[in-house]
Amino acid sequence: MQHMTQKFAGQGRRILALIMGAVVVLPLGGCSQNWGWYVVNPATVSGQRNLKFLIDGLYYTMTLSVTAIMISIILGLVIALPGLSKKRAPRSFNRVYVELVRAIPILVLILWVYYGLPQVASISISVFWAGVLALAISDSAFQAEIFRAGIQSINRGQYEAAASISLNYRDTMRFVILPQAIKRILPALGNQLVYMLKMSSLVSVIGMQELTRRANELVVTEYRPLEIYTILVIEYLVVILIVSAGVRWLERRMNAAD
Amino acid sequence: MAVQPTKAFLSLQNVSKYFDAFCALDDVSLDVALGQKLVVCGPSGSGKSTLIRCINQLETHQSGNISIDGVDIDDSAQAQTAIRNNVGMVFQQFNLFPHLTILENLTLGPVRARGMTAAAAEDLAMHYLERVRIPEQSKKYPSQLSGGQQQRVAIARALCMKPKLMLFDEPTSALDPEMIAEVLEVIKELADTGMTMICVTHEMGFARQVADMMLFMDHGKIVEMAPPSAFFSRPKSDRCKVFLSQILRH
Repeated sequence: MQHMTQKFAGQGRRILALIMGAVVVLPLGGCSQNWGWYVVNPATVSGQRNLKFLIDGLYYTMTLSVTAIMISIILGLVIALPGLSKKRAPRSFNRVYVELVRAIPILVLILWVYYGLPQVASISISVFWAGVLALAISDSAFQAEIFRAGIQSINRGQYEAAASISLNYRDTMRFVILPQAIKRILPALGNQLVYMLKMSSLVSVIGMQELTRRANELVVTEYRPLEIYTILVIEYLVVILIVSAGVRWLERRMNAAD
Repeated sequence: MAVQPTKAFLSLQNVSKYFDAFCALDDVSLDVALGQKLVVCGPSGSGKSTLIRCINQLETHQSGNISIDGVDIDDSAQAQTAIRNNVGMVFQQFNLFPHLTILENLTLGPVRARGMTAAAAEDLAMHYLERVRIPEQSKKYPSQLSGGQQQRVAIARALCMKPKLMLFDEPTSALDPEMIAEVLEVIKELADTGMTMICVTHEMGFARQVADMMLFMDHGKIVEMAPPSAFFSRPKSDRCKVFLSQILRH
Protein backbone atom coordinates (compact mmCIF):
# COMPACT_ATOMS: atom_id res chain seq x y z
CA MET A 1 0.00 0.00 0.00
CA GLN A 2 2.82 2.32 1.01
CA HIS A 3 4.53 1.50 -2.24
CA MET A 4 1.38 2.25 -4.24
CA THR A 5 0.87 5.63 -2.62
CA GLN A 6 4.43 6.63 -3.35
CA LYS A 7 4.12 5.47 -6.91
CA PHE A 8 0.91 7.45 -7.30
CA ALA A 9 2.49 10.55 -5.82
CA GLY A 10 5.39 10.17 -8.24
CA GLN A 11 2.97 9.86 -11.13
CA GLY A 12 1.07 12.97 -10.03
CA ARG A 13 4.29 14.97 -9.86
CA ARG A 14 5.34 13.86 -13.33
CA ILE A 15 2.05 14.89 -14.85
CA LEU A 16 2.10 18.20 -13.05
CA ALA A 17 5.66 18.86 -14.18
CA LEU A 18 4.67 18.21 -17.80
CA ILE A 19 1.77 20.64 -17.69
CA MET A 20 3.69 23.28 -15.78
CA GLY A 21 6.54 22.90 -18.22
CA ALA A 22 4.25 23.52 -21.15
CA VAL A 23 2.52 26.46 -19.48
CA VAL A 24 5.74 28.15 -18.34
CA VAL A 25 8.05 27.52 -21.27
CA LEU A 26 5.74 28.35 -24.16
CA PRO A 27 4.77 31.91 -23.13
CA LEU A 28 8.45 32.78 -22.74
CA GLY A 29 8.45 32.87 -26.48
CA GLY A 30 6.20 35.88 -26.06
CA CYS A 31 9.36 37.98 -25.69
CA SER A 32 10.12 37.48 -29.37
CA GLN A 33 8.31 39.18 -32.23
CA ASN A 34 6.59 35.97 -33.35
CA TRP A 35 4.41 35.47 -30.31
CA GLY A 36 1.30 37.40 -29.53
CA TRP A 37 -0.12 36.07 -26.33
CA TYR A 38 -2.39 39.09 -25.93
CA VAL A 39 -4.98 37.11 -27.88
CA VAL A 40 -5.53 34.82 -24.89
CA ASN A 41 -4.24 37.06 -22.12
CA PRO A 42 -6.50 36.50 -19.12
CA ALA A 43 -5.70 40.02 -17.90
CA THR A 44 -7.57 41.65 -20.78
CA VAL A 45 -11.30 41.51 -21.51
CA SER A 46 -10.88 40.28 -25.07
CA GLY A 47 -8.28 37.72 -23.97
CA GLN A 48 -10.67 36.46 -21.32
CA ARG A 49 -13.49 36.23 -23.83
CA ASN A 50 -11.30 34.30 -26.26
CA LEU A 51 -10.08 31.91 -23.58
CA LYS A 52 -13.62 31.25 -22.39
CA PHE A 53 -14.72 30.66 -25.98
CA LEU A 54 -11.96 28.08 -26.42
CA ILE A 55 -12.41 26.30 -23.10
CA ASP A 56 -16.20 26.11 -23.43
CA GLY A 57 -15.60 23.67 -26.28
CA LEU A 58 -14.51 21.20 -23.64
CA TYR A 59 -18.14 20.55 -22.77
CA TYR A 60 -18.84 19.29 -26.29
CA THR A 61 -15.59 17.36 -26.60
CA MET A 62 -16.36 15.56 -23.35
CA THR A 63 -20.07 14.85 -23.95
CA LEU A 64 -19.32 13.75 -27.51
CA SER A 65 -16.50 11.40 -26.46
CA VAL A 66 -18.18 9.98 -23.38
CA THR A 67 -21.49 9.36 -25.15
CA ALA A 68 -19.67 7.80 -28.09
CA ILE A 69 -17.51 5.54 -25.90
CA MET A 70 -20.52 4.31 -23.92
CA ILE A 71 -22.38 3.43 -27.10
CA SER A 72 -19.28 1.85 -28.62
CA ILE A 73 -18.71 -0.30 -25.51
CA ILE A 74 -22.26 -1.65 -25.66
CA LEU A 75 -22.05 -2.04 -29.44
CA GLY A 76 -18.64 -3.70 -29.08
CA LEU A 77 -20.00 -6.23 -26.60
CA VAL A 78 -22.98 -6.99 -28.82
CA ILE A 79 -20.59 -7.55 -31.74
CA ALA A 80 -18.08 -9.54 -29.66
CA LEU A 81 -20.50 -12.16 -28.29
CA PRO A 82 -21.45 -13.69 -31.67
CA GLY A 83 -17.71 -13.87 -32.37
CA LEU A 84 -17.39 -16.34 -29.49
CA SER A 85 -20.21 -18.58 -30.69
CA LYS A 86 -19.60 -22.20 -31.63
CA LYS A 87 -21.80 -21.68 -34.67
CA ARG A 88 -20.33 -20.45 -37.92
CA ALA A 89 -22.95 -17.85 -38.96
CA PRO A 90 -22.65 -15.60 -35.87
CA ARG A 91 -18.87 -15.83 -36.09
CA SER A 92 -18.93 -14.74 -39.73
CA PHE A 93 -21.16 -11.79 -38.83
CA ASN A 94 -18.59 -10.73 -36.23
CA ARG A 95 -15.67 -11.02 -38.67
CA VAL A 96 -17.41 -9.14 -41.49
CA TYR A 97 -18.48 -6.30 -39.19
CA VAL A 98 -15.04 -5.90 -37.62
CA GLU A 99 -13.12 -6.04 -40.91
CA LEU A 100 -15.54 -3.70 -42.67
CA VAL A 101 -15.68 -1.04 -39.97
CA ARG A 102 -11.94 -1.10 -39.34
CA ALA A 103 -11.36 -0.39 -43.02
CA ILE A 104 -13.27 2.93 -43.01
CA PRO A 105 -11.30 6.04 -42.00
CA ILE A 106 -13.04 7.88 -39.15
CA LEU A 107 -13.15 11.19 -41.01
CA VAL A 108 -14.81 9.51 -43.98
CA LEU A 109 -17.36 7.85 -41.70
CA ILE A 110 -18.18 11.19 -40.04
CA LEU A 111 -18.77 12.82 -43.42
CA TRP A 112 -20.84 9.92 -44.65
CA VAL A 113 -23.04 9.72 -41.54
CA TYR A 114 -23.67 13.50 -41.54
CA TYR A 115 -24.18 14.12 -45.25
CA GLY A 116 -25.04 10.67 -46.63
CA LEU A 117 -27.12 8.91 -43.99
CA PRO A 118 -29.94 11.52 -43.89
CA GLN A 119 -30.47 11.00 -47.62
CA VAL A 120 -30.31 7.20 -47.52
CA ALA A 121 -32.53 6.81 -44.46
CA SER A 122 -34.54 10.04 -44.98
CA ILE A 123 -33.96 11.15 -41.43
CA SER A 124 -32.52 14.36 -40.10
CA ILE A 125 -29.53 14.03 -37.83
CA SER A 126 -27.92 16.69 -35.68
CA VAL A 127 -24.21 17.41 -35.83
CA PHE A 128 -23.82 16.03 -32.31
CA TRP A 129 -25.52 12.70 -32.99
CA ALA A 130 -23.85 12.32 -36.38
CA GLY A 131 -20.52 12.72 -34.58
CA VAL A 132 -21.47 10.33 -31.78
CA LEU A 133 -22.73 7.71 -34.22
CA ALA A 134 -19.68 7.87 -36.48
CA LEU A 135 -17.22 7.75 -33.56
CA ALA A 136 -19.14 4.95 -31.84
CA ILE A 137 -19.38 2.76 -34.93
CA SER A 138 -15.75 3.30 -35.78
CA ASP A 139 -14.63 2.45 -32.25
CA SER A 140 -17.03 -0.48 -31.81
CA ALA A 141 -14.92 -2.71 -34.04
CA PHE A 142 -11.93 -2.18 -31.76
CA GLN A 143 -14.07 -2.59 -28.65
CA ALA A 144 -15.39 -5.88 -30.05
CA GLU A 145 -11.86 -7.20 -30.48
CA ILE A 146 -10.92 -6.08 -26.98
CA PHE A 147 -13.98 -7.77 -25.46
CA ARG A 148 -13.38 -10.95 -27.45
CA ALA A 149 -9.82 -11.22 -26.20
CA GLY A 150 -10.88 -10.41 -22.63
CA ILE A 151 -13.66 -12.98 -22.56
CA GLN A 152 -11.46 -15.63 -24.18
CA SER A 153 -8.84 -15.10 -21.49
CA ILE A 154 -11.23 -16.33 -18.77
CA ASN A 155 -10.54 -19.89 -17.66
CA ARG A 156 -12.91 -22.58 -18.94
CA GLY A 157 -13.38 -23.74 -15.35
CA GLN A 158 -15.37 -20.58 -14.66
CA TYR A 159 -17.94 -21.54 -17.31
CA GLU A 160 -18.08 -25.07 -15.95
CA ALA A 161 -18.55 -23.85 -12.38
CA ALA A 162 -21.34 -21.54 -13.56
CA ALA A 163 -22.99 -24.43 -15.39
CA SER A 164 -22.64 -26.63 -12.29
CA ILE A 165 -24.74 -24.16 -10.29
CA SER A 166 -27.33 -24.03 -13.08
CA LEU A 167 -26.66 -20.53 -14.36
CA ASN A 168 -27.96 -19.89 -17.87
CA TYR A 169 -25.86 -18.21 -20.59
CA ARG A 170 -27.03 -14.71 -19.73
CA ASP A 171 -26.36 -15.00 -16.01
CA THR A 172 -23.04 -16.74 -16.64
CA MET A 173 -21.92 -13.81 -18.76
CA ARG A 174 -23.41 -11.13 -16.54
CA PHE A 175 -22.30 -12.35 -13.13
CA VAL A 176 -19.29 -14.58 -13.78
CA ILE A 177 -17.47 -13.94 -17.06
CA LEU A 178 -17.94 -10.25 -17.90
CA PRO A 179 -17.03 -8.82 -14.48
CA GLN A 180 -13.71 -10.68 -14.67
CA ALA A 181 -13.17 -9.90 -18.35
CA ILE A 182 -13.91 -6.19 -17.92
CA LYS A 183 -11.39 -5.96 -15.12
CA ARG A 184 -8.75 -7.42 -17.40
CA ILE A 185 -9.57 -5.17 -20.34
CA LEU A 186 -9.91 -1.97 -18.33
CA PRO A 187 -6.50 -0.63 -19.38
CA ALA A 188 -7.45 -1.23 -23.02
CA LEU A 189 -10.83 0.47 -22.51
CA GLY A 190 -9.02 3.41 -20.96
CA ASN A 191 -6.80 3.64 -24.02
CA GLN A 192 -9.89 3.67 -26.22
CA LEU A 193 -11.35 6.57 -24.24
CA VAL A 194 -8.15 8.57 -24.75
CA TYR A 195 -8.21 7.63 -28.44
CA MET A 196 -11.85 8.73 -28.62
CA LEU A 197 -11.09 12.12 -27.03
CA LYS A 198 -8.49 12.72 -29.70
CA MET A 199 -10.63 11.46 -32.57
CA SER A 200 -13.51 13.70 -31.49
CA SER A 201 -11.49 16.61 -32.92
CA LEU A 202 -12.39 15.29 -36.38
CA VAL A 203 -16.06 16.06 -35.76
CA SER A 204 -15.06 19.72 -36.10
CA VAL A 205 -15.29 19.29 -39.88
CA ILE A 206 -19.07 19.03 -39.76
CA GLY A 207 -19.34 22.06 -37.47
CA MET A 208 -19.42 20.59 -33.97
CA GLN A 209 -18.51 23.41 -31.57
CA GLU A 210 -15.91 21.37 -29.69
CA LEU A 211 -12.33 22.34 -28.81
CA THR A 212 -10.80 22.08 -32.27
CA ARG A 213 -13.65 23.81 -34.11
CA ARG A 214 -13.58 26.73 -31.71
CA ALA A 215 -9.83 27.08 -32.09
CA ASN A 216 -10.24 27.10 -35.89
CA GLU A 217 -12.94 29.76 -35.71
CA LEU A 218 -10.90 31.95 -33.40
CA VAL A 219 -7.87 31.64 -35.67
CA VAL A 220 -9.97 32.94 -38.55
CA THR A 221 -11.06 36.06 -36.65
CA GLU A 222 -7.88 36.76 -34.63
CA TYR A 223 -5.28 35.40 -37.02
CA ARG A 224 -2.98 34.13 -34.24
CA PRO A 225 -2.77 30.39 -35.13
CA LEU A 226 0.43 29.72 -33.17
CA GLU A 227 -0.93 30.90 -29.81
CA ILE A 228 -4.43 29.54 -30.26
CA TYR A 229 -3.35 26.11 -31.45
CA THR A 230 -0.82 25.98 -28.61
CA ILE A 231 -3.69 26.54 -26.19
CA LEU A 232 -5.58 23.78 -28.03
CA VAL A 233 -2.68 21.37 -27.55
CA ILE A 234 -2.56 22.19 -23.84
CA GLU A 235 -6.33 21.70 -23.54
CA TYR A 236 -6.13 18.15 -24.96
CA LEU A 237 -3.02 17.43 -22.93
CA VAL A 238 -4.67 18.39 -19.63
CA VAL A 239 -7.90 16.51 -20.36
CA ILE A 240 -6.16 13.33 -21.49
CA LEU A 241 -3.65 13.27 -18.64
CA ILE A 242 -6.49 13.65 -16.15
CA VAL A 243 -8.53 10.91 -17.84
CA SER A 244 -5.49 8.59 -17.91
CA ALA A 245 -4.88 9.15 -14.20
CA GLY A 246 -8.57 8.44 -13.54
CA VAL A 247 -8.39 5.15 -15.43
CA ARG A 248 -5.29 4.10 -13.49
CA TRP A 249 -7.03 4.98 -10.23
CA LEU A 250 -9.99 2.82 -11.23
CA GLU A 251 -7.69 -0.07 -12.13
CA ARG A 252 -5.98 0.09 -8.76
CA ARG A 253 -9.31 0.22 -6.96
CA MET A 254 -10.56 -2.82 -8.84
CA ASN A 255 -7.35 -4.73 -8.22
CA ALA A 256 -7.58 -3.93 -4.52
CA ALA A 257 -11.00 -5.63 -4.46
CA ASP A 258 -9.42 -9.08 -4.61
CA MET B 1 -28.05 -47.55 7.04
CA ALA B 2 -27.34 -49.57 3.94
CA VAL B 3 -29.91 -48.35 1.43
CA GLN B 4 -30.77 -51.25 -0.79
CA PRO B 5 -30.84 -50.10 -4.39
CA THR B 6 -34.39 -50.45 -5.53
CA LYS B 7 -34.23 -48.60 -8.82
CA ALA B 8 -31.39 -46.75 -10.46
CA PHE B 9 -31.39 -42.99 -9.93
CA LEU B 10 -28.60 -42.58 -12.43
CA SER B 11 -28.19 -44.99 -15.27
CA LEU B 12 -25.56 -45.17 -18.02
CA GLN B 13 -26.07 -47.62 -20.85
CA ASN B 14 -23.34 -48.32 -23.39
CA VAL B 15 -22.02 -44.77 -23.19
CA SER B 16 -19.11 -43.90 -25.47
CA LYS B 17 -17.23 -40.64 -25.80
CA TYR B 18 -14.51 -39.74 -28.26
CA PHE B 19 -12.12 -36.80 -28.37
CA ASP B 20 -11.40 -36.89 -32.08
CA ALA B 21 -9.97 -40.37 -32.55
CA PHE B 22 -9.19 -40.90 -28.86
CA CYS B 23 -11.77 -43.07 -27.12
CA ALA B 24 -12.26 -41.60 -23.62
CA LEU B 25 -15.27 -43.72 -22.68
CA ASP B 26 -15.72 -47.12 -24.28
CA ASP B 27 -19.19 -48.61 -23.99
CA VAL B 28 -19.64 -47.87 -20.28
CA SER B 29 -22.73 -49.08 -18.41
CA LEU B 30 -23.42 -48.22 -14.80
CA ASP B 31 -26.39 -47.98 -12.41
CA VAL B 32 -26.36 -45.83 -9.29
CA ALA B 33 -29.19 -45.86 -6.77
CA LEU B 34 -30.03 -43.04 -4.39
CA GLY B 35 -27.78 -43.16 -1.34
CA GLN B 36 -24.96 -45.05 -3.07
CA LYS B 37 -21.38 -43.85 -2.77
CA LEU B 38 -19.10 -44.73 -5.65
CA VAL B 39 -15.38 -44.12 -5.67
CA VAL B 40 -13.73 -44.18 -9.09
CA CYS B 41 -10.00 -44.76 -9.47
CA GLY B 42 -7.65 -45.63 -12.27
CA PRO B 43 -4.54 -44.36 -14.05
CA SER B 44 -4.59 -40.90 -15.62
CA GLY B 45 -6.29 -40.81 -18.99
CA SER B 46 -8.45 -43.79 -18.07
CA GLY B 47 -11.70 -41.83 -18.49
CA LYS B 48 -12.60 -41.21 -14.81
CA SER B 49 -13.13 -37.48 -15.20
CA THR B 50 -14.83 -37.88 -18.54
CA LEU B 51 -17.26 -40.33 -16.93
CA ILE B 52 -18.51 -37.84 -14.35
CA ARG B 53 -18.31 -34.90 -16.73
CA CYS B 54 -20.63 -36.74 -19.12
CA ILE B 55 -23.14 -37.25 -16.30
CA ASN B 56 -23.72 -33.50 -15.93
CA GLN B 57 -23.02 -32.90 -19.62
CA LEU B 58 -19.90 -30.78 -19.29
CA GLU B 59 -18.90 -33.24 -21.99
CA THR B 60 -21.46 -34.64 -24.38
CA HIS B 61 -21.39 -38.37 -25.09
CA GLN B 62 -21.60 -39.55 -28.67
CA SER B 63 -23.42 -42.82 -28.24
CA GLY B 64 -25.31 -44.72 -25.61
CA ASN B 65 -27.80 -43.43 -23.11
CA ILE B 66 -27.59 -41.58 -19.77
CA SER B 67 -30.68 -41.07 -17.64
CA ILE B 68 -31.10 -39.19 -14.37
CA ASP B 69 -34.24 -39.71 -12.29
CA GLY B 70 -35.90 -41.34 -15.28
CA VAL B 71 -35.11 -38.49 -17.70
CA ASP B 72 -32.93 -39.23 -20.72
CA ILE B 73 -30.00 -36.85 -20.88
CA ASP B 74 -29.63 -35.11 -24.24
CA ASP B 75 -29.64 -31.44 -25.24
CA SER B 76 -33.37 -30.99 -24.57
CA ALA B 77 -34.63 -28.43 -22.07
CA GLN B 78 -36.16 -31.22 -20.01
CA ALA B 79 -32.80 -32.96 -19.68
CA GLN B 80 -31.09 -29.70 -18.71
CA THR B 81 -33.68 -29.22 -15.96
CA ALA B 82 -33.08 -32.76 -14.71
CA ILE B 83 -29.35 -32.08 -14.45
CA ARG B 84 -29.84 -28.65 -12.90
CA ASN B 85 -32.20 -29.97 -10.24
CA ASN B 86 -30.26 -33.07 -9.32
CA VAL B 87 -26.54 -32.89 -9.88
CA GLY B 88 -23.86 -30.92 -8.03
CA MET B 89 -20.18 -30.87 -8.90
CA VAL B 90 -16.87 -30.18 -7.17
CA PHE B 91 -13.82 -29.56 -9.35
CA GLN B 92 -10.16 -30.36 -8.90
CA GLN B 93 -9.24 -26.67 -9.29
CA PHE B 94 -12.14 -25.46 -7.07
CA ASN B 95 -13.27 -23.00 -9.76
CA LEU B 96 -14.57 -20.47 -7.29
CA PHE B 97 -15.52 -17.09 -8.73
CA PRO B 98 -12.52 -14.91 -7.80
CA HIS B 99 -14.34 -11.58 -8.08
CA LEU B 100 -17.11 -12.56 -5.65
CA THR B 101 -16.97 -12.98 -1.88
CA ILE B 102 -17.42 -16.44 -0.39
CA LEU B 103 -21.02 -15.61 0.48
CA GLU B 104 -21.69 -14.30 -3.04
CA ASN B 105 -20.15 -17.44 -4.53
CA LEU B 106 -22.68 -19.47 -2.55
CA THR B 107 -25.78 -17.33 -3.10
CA LEU B 108 -25.38 -16.69 -6.86
CA GLY B 109 -26.87 -20.03 -7.91
CA PRO B 110 -29.78 -20.10 -5.44
CA VAL B 111 -30.76 -16.50 -6.27
CA ARG B 112 -30.33 -16.55 -10.07
CA ALA B 113 -31.18 -20.17 -10.92
CA ARG B 114 -33.56 -21.08 -8.10
CA GLY B 115 -35.26 -17.72 -7.69
CA MET B 116 -34.61 -17.53 -3.95
CA THR B 117 -34.65 -14.18 -2.17
CA ALA B 118 -31.24 -12.81 -1.21
CA ALA B 119 -32.03 -13.18 2.50
CA ALA B 120 -33.12 -16.80 2.19
CA ALA B 121 -30.10 -17.62 0.04
CA GLU B 122 -27.77 -16.06 2.63
CA ASP B 123 -29.33 -18.13 5.40
CA LEU B 124 -28.86 -21.23 3.28
CA ALA B 125 -25.27 -20.27 2.45
CA MET B 126 -24.39 -19.66 6.10
CA HIS B 127 -25.94 -23.01 7.01
CA TYR B 128 -23.66 -24.83 4.59
CA LEU B 129 -20.62 -22.72 5.46
CA GLU B 130 -21.13 -23.83 9.05
CA ARG B 131 -21.33 -27.40 7.88
CA VAL B 132 -17.97 -27.10 6.13
CA ARG B 133 -16.75 -25.21 9.21
CA ILE B 134 -15.77 -21.84 7.73
CA PRO B 135 -18.69 -19.46 8.43
CA GLU B 136 -16.22 -16.79 9.63
CA GLN B 137 -14.74 -16.49 6.10
CA SER B 138 -17.99 -15.50 4.39
CA LYS B 139 -16.98 -11.89 3.67
CA LYS B 140 -13.57 -12.74 2.24
CA TYR B 141 -12.56 -13.36 -1.35
CA PRO B 142 -11.42 -16.81 -2.54
CA SER B 143 -7.79 -15.73 -2.97
CA GLN B 144 -7.65 -14.91 0.75
CA LEU B 145 -8.39 -18.53 1.67
CA SER B 146 -6.17 -21.60 1.75
CA GLY B 147 -6.65 -24.32 -0.84
CA GLY B 148 -8.41 -26.57 1.64
CA GLN B 149 -10.76 -23.78 2.66
CA GLN B 150 -11.46 -22.93 -0.98
CA GLN B 151 -12.38 -26.51 -1.75
CA ARG B 152 -14.70 -26.64 1.26
CA VAL B 153 -16.35 -23.46 -0.02
CA ALA B 154 -16.74 -25.15 -3.40
CA ILE B 155 -18.45 -28.08 -1.71
CA ALA B 156 -20.78 -25.72 0.16
CA ARG B 157 -21.51 -23.88 -3.09
CA ALA B 158 -22.59 -27.14 -4.73
CA LEU B 159 -24.69 -28.12 -1.71
CA CYS B 160 -26.57 -24.79 -1.78
CA MET B 161 -28.23 -26.04 -4.98
CA LYS B 162 -29.65 -28.98 -2.99
CA PRO B 163 -28.45 -31.68 -5.38
CA LYS B 164 -29.44 -35.33 -4.99
CA LEU B 165 -26.20 -36.51 -6.58
CA MET B 166 -22.78 -35.02 -5.93
CA LEU B 167 -19.89 -35.48 -8.36
CA PHE B 168 -16.33 -34.99 -7.11
CA ASP B 169 -13.58 -34.71 -9.72
CA GLU B 170 -10.32 -35.40 -7.84
CA PRO B 171 -11.28 -32.94 -5.09
CA THR B 172 -7.94 -33.20 -3.23
CA SER B 173 -5.46 -33.53 -6.10
CA ALA B 174 -4.64 -29.82 -6.23
CA LEU B 175 -4.20 -29.51 -2.46
CA ASP B 176 -1.12 -29.44 -0.27
CA PRO B 177 -0.89 -32.64 1.79
CA GLU B 178 -1.78 -30.99 5.10
CA MET B 179 -5.06 -29.73 3.66
CA ILE B 180 -6.30 -32.99 2.20
CA ALA B 181 -7.65 -34.32 5.50
CA GLU B 182 -9.94 -31.35 6.19
CA VAL B 183 -11.57 -31.68 2.77
CA LEU B 184 -11.95 -35.46 2.97
CA GLU B 185 -13.49 -35.08 6.44
CA VAL B 186 -16.17 -32.78 5.04
CA ILE B 187 -16.90 -35.18 2.18
CA LYS B 188 -17.11 -38.07 4.64
CA GLU B 189 -19.59 -36.18 6.80
CA LEU B 190 -21.62 -35.50 3.68
CA ALA B 191 -21.58 -39.21 2.85
CA ASP B 192 -22.80 -39.98 6.37
CA THR B 193 -25.91 -37.87 5.75
CA GLY B 194 -26.88 -40.28 2.98
CA MET B 195 -25.88 -38.10 0.00
CA THR B 196 -25.51 -40.02 -3.24
CA MET B 197 -22.04 -39.41 -4.60
CA ILE B 198 -19.53 -40.37 -7.24
CA CYS B 199 -16.00 -39.42 -6.30
CA VAL B 200 -12.92 -39.67 -8.48
CA THR B 201 -9.96 -39.91 -6.13
CA HIS B 202 -6.72 -41.69 -5.39
CA GLU B 203 -7.15 -41.38 -1.61
CA MET B 204 -7.60 -45.07 -0.95
CA GLY B 205 -7.91 -44.76 2.84
CA PHE B 206 -10.82 -42.40 2.28
CA ALA B 207 -12.30 -44.72 -0.32
CA ARG B 208 -12.20 -47.66 2.07
CA GLN B 209 -14.13 -45.68 4.69
CA VAL B 210 -16.72 -44.03 2.47
CA ALA B 211 -17.36 -46.09 -0.64
CA ASP B 212 -19.96 -48.78 -0.87
CA MET B 213 -18.75 -49.53 -4.37
CA MET B 214 -15.30 -49.17 -5.95
CA LEU B 215 -14.81 -48.69 -9.68
CA PHE B 216 -11.50 -49.21 -11.43
CA MET B 217 -11.24 -47.73 -14.91
CA ASP B 218 -8.64 -48.19 -17.60
CA HIS B 219 -8.66 -47.17 -21.27
CA GLY B 220 -12.21 -45.83 -21.05
CA LYS B 221 -13.70 -49.02 -19.64
CA ILE B 222 -14.88 -50.01 -16.19
CA VAL B 223 -12.48 -52.89 -15.59
CA GLU B 224 -13.49 -53.76 -12.09
CA MET B 225 -16.45 -52.92 -9.88
CA ALA B 226 -16.75 -54.33 -6.37
CA PRO B 227 -17.45 -53.36 -2.74
CA PRO B 228 -14.28 -51.99 -1.11
CA SER B 229 -13.58 -55.07 1.02
CA ALA B 230 -13.46 -57.34 -2.01
CA PHE B 231 -11.88 -54.68 -4.21
CA PHE B 232 -8.86 -54.11 -2.01
CA SER B 233 -8.32 -57.68 -0.80
CA ARG B 234 -9.08 -59.65 -3.96
CA PRO B 235 -8.79 -57.54 -7.09
CA LYS B 236 -9.63 -59.74 -10.06
CA SER B 237 -7.94 -58.11 -13.01
CA ASP B 238 -4.19 -57.85 -13.42
CA ARG B 239 -4.34 -54.19 -14.35
CA CYS B 240 -6.19 -53.39 -11.15
CA LYS B 241 -3.69 -55.39 -9.11
CA VAL B 242 -0.78 -53.50 -10.63
CA PHE B 243 -2.51 -50.16 -10.10
CA LEU B 244 -3.34 -50.90 -6.48
CA SER B 245 0.13 -52.18 -5.70
CA GLN B 246 1.59 -48.96 -7.12
CA ILE B 247 -0.78 -46.63 -5.36
CA LEU B 248 -0.73 -48.43 -2.01
CA ARG B 249 3.02 -48.96 -1.95
CA HIS B 250 3.78 -45.63 -0.29
